[in-house]
Amino acid sequence: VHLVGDRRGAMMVMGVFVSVFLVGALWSIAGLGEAVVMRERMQEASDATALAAAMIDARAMNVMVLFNLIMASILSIRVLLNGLYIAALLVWGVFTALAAIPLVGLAFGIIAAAALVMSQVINGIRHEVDDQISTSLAEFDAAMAGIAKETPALAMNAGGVPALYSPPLVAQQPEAATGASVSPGAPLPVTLGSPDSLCDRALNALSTEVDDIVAQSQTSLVAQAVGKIFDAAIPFVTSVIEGSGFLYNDLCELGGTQGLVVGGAVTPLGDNCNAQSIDVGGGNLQSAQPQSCVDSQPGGTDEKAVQTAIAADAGTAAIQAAQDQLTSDQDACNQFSQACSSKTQQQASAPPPAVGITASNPNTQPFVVDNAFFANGGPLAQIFTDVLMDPASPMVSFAPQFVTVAARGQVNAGPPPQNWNHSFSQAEFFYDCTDAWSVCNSNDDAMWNYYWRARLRTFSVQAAQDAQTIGTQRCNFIISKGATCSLDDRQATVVANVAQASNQVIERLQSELAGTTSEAQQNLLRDVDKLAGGQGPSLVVH
Amino acid sequence: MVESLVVISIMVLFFMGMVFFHSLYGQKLRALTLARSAAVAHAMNACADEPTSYIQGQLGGAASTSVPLPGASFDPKAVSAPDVGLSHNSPVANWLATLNFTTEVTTEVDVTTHAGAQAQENMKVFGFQASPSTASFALCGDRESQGNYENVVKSISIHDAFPF
Repeated sequence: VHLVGDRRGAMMVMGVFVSVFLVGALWSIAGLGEAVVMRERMQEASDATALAAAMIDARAMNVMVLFNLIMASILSIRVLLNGLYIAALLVWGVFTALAAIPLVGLAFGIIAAAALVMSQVINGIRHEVDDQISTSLAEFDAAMAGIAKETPALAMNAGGVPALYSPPLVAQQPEAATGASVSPGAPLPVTLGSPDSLCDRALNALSTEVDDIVAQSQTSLVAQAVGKIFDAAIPFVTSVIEGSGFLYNDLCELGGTQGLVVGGAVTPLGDNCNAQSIDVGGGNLQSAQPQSCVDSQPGGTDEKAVQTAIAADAGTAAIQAAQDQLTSDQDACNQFSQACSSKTQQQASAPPPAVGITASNPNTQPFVVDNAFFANGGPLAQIFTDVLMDPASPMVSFAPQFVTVAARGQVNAGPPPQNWNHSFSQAEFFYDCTDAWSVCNSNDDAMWNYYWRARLRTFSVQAAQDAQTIGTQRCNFIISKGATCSLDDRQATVVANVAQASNQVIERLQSELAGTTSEAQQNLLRDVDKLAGGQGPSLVVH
Repeated sequence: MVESLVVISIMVLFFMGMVFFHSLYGQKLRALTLARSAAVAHAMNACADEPTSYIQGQLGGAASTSVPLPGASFDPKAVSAPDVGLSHNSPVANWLATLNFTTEVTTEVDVTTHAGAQAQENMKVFGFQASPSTASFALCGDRESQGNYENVVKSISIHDAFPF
C-alpha cells in the first residue's frame, strides 16, 4: 500500500526506460553510421583498384607510343644515310655525264669525283651503323612485345592499390583483384603494324629533327639553307616515292628486298631474301636480285658473252674466260639462293608472328592498335573490379550484436550475407580524342601520341559480359595464329559475381515492386523484368 | 527534484551522443568524399599539382595532406615467356633502367575533419568531440601530350646511357 501510494521515484522508473531506449537508439545510429562508412570505403577501394588497373594499361600504351617514336627516330638515321648515299650517287652520275662537255667538263669531272668520294664515305658509315640500327629496332620491338604481354598481369594487381585499403575492407586476393577483358593470359590490344608506316614515320622524324637542328642553329646560314632544302625536299621525295615500294625497300630496309640497289650495284644490307625482284621504275634503280643472278640467267649477259666469244672465234682463252664468268656468277647466285632458302626455312620453323606478341618475328615493325577487336570505349578497354569485404570483418567493428539488438533484429551488423558483400567498379583506358575512333586512329595515330588515359565509368553488367565475350574471341584468334593466350580465372569470376549479384538485385527489386501500383514503379518493374529476361538496357549499378 | 536532475542529465547526455554520432559519421563521409575526389582528380592530372588544391574550396575547417607513394616499377624486362621482352643484359634494358618514367606512383590524400556535440557554460566547454580522418589512394596517370620526335630525341640525348 505504501509503495502504491508513494509517488516518489516515478520519474526514475520512466527515466530508466527512456535511457534504455536512448542507449539502443545511440548504438543503432553508431552501427548504421559505421556500416555506411564501411560500405563507402569498400566502394572507394573498388574504384581505386579499377582506376589503377586502367592507369597501368594506359601507361603501357603510352610507353609503347614512346618506343614507336624512338624506333622511328633511330630508323631516320638509316633513311638519312641512305638518302645521302643515293643523292651522292645521282650527283656522281649526272656530273660524270656532264664531264664530257668541252671546256667546263673538267669542273664537272671534279664535282663528280668529289661526289663519288662522298658516296664511299657515306657508304662506309652506313655499313658501320647498320647493325646497331637493326639491333636497336629489334630490341625495342622485343621490349614492346614484352610490355604488351606482361602489362595485363601487372594491371590485375592494380599497382598494389587494393592492399592499401586492406584489411579489413578488402578480402584477400584473388577476389579483390580486377577482372578485365585484357586479362593476364591475353596481351594488350595491340598488334604489329606495317613496316611502311614505320618508314613513313621515320621520314617525319627526320624532317622534325632537321627542323630542330635548324632551330638551334639560327645564326648559321648553312644550317638554315640545309634546313630549307630538307623542308622542301622531304615532302617532294615522300610524294614521289611513296607507294612505289622504293621508300620501304631501299630507304628503310626493313626486310623484303635485296637491299639498296643503285646504278646496277648491289649493296646487300639488312634482312633481304623475301622479294627477289622489284621494279621501282627509276633509271638508276634496277632489280633487287644480286647482279650475279641477273647476269647468269638464261639469255643474260654472261651467256651472251660466251655465245659472242664463240661466234667471233675469239680464241680458247677468251671463250674460257667468258665461261668462267658465267660459272662464277652461277655459283654466286646459287649461294645466294641457298642462303635465302635456309633463312626462309628458319623463319618458317620459328614461331609465327602471333599478332605481334612474339619477338621472334624477324621483321621490324611498329606496334599499332588491334583494330579488329579494340575501339575507344569498347569492351576490350574496360576494367572491372569486384572487391569483397573480408568475411572475418563485420560491418560494425564494435559490439555488432548490440547493434543488432538495438535495431530489433532488422539489421545484421555482422559480416554481410553472400552476394551482398561485393563492390563493383568499372574503369577504362582510352585514347583521348573527341572524334570517332576511325578518325582518331586514322593512320594508326593512336600509337604515335601520348594521349592514352584512364577514367572511371558507370558500372554496367552488360559491358562486363561483352568484355568476356570479346576477350574470349580475341584470345581464340591469337591462339589460331599459333601464339598462347588464356583468359585468367579472375575475369570469369568477376563476371560470374557480377551476374550473380545483379540477379539478386533484380529478384529483390521484382519482389519489392510486385505489389506497387504507381505508374513510375510499374515502369521500373517492367524494365527490371526485361533485364531478368536478358533484354532491355544494361543494369547500371550506381 | 533529484530524480529530474538525474533523468535530465542522462537524457542530455544521450541526446548529445546522438548529435555527436550524427556529426561524426556525417563528417567521416564528408572526409571520405573529399579525399576520394582529390585523389582521383590528382591522379588523372598525372599527379602534377597539389592534390588538396582540388578540394580547397570544400575543405572548410578540415585539414588535408598528401603523400606520394612509390609504386612498383614498370619493367619491360620482367617477362616470363622466353620469346618476348628484353634480355637483362640488353643495352636497351640498361638504358630503360636509367629512366624513371616507368615507375608507378600512387598518391595518398589524407583528410581530417572535426566532429563534436558540445555545450558551453561560463566559458567552460563540455561534450563530445572527435577528429574523423581518412586516406584515399589512386595510381597516378600520365600527362598527355602529342607524340613528337623532338622530345624523344631530347629525351634520348639527356640520358647519356642511351647506347646508340
